Amino acid sequence: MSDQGQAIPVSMDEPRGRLPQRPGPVTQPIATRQVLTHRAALRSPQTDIYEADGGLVLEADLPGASEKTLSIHLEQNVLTLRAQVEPAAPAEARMIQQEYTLGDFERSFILSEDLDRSRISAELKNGVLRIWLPRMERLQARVIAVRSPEQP
Amino acid sequence: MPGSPDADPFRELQREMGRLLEAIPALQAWRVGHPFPAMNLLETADRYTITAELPGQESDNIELSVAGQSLTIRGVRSASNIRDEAYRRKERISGSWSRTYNFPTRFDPERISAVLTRGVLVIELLKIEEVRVRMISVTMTPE
Repeated sequence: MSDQGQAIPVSMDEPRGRLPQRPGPVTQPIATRQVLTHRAALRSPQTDIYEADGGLVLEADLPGASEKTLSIHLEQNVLTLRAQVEPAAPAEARMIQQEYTLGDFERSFILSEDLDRSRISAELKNGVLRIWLPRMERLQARVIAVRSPEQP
Repeated sequence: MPGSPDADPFRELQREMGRLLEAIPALQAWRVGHPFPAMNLLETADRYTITAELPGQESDNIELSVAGQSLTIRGVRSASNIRDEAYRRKERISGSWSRTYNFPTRFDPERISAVLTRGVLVIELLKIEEVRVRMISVTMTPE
């Protein structure tokens, strides 16, 4: 891998947890457009980040999220995903066995300087969000041809 | 990379462990710290409801089977074709999985519904009427 020893462009800013407030090193307040107080738990979606041609791809599991309830917010260098989900089971039903908590999703990522903020695009399909984070053109790796001087 | 001066041996070890654990979904689930796939079982007077979070899965890859009072749900979440070295972070689990529920109450195998919407599967099983407790009134015939 060529990037070993370099800074990782995208990283998570907070530990997994259910705290509704935002702990961790991000001092920049994220603009709260909606107050997520109607449900107790905020969940951190499982996320993959991988290198792709010319940038990074972020894939986050957001089961139950729709385009209407999902927001992707970029402020300074912090990319925040938020998705509200509705309970799939009838409200009057009694829980017998619970393996996941119902709750909205939220997670923030710090973007590195070399990513082109103006060209970020996203797609939501079957409860999976895919965000394409292209690198700035000028920072993309280029192959430089080496020519040896003419033999005398 | 082995041999390169700035290689972090722990990172390599972690990556190797990751490869090993990723081979089996149950172990991946243990590593990530939640069951895979996560399912909730709920009950009302007339039915059982199972909800499951299956993001990125197609309904074609999910199969339900009934035997007596048990329901088995099987599925496959296809692995991505991205090579391991390209990952900066890998938390999402893939592989084939199977879950079985045994119900204390009989349900109608002909009236099971299963709907997958935006990565959430909802299965409903209707309890069979006979098993519900009924009060039978006793009438007396006049002599």
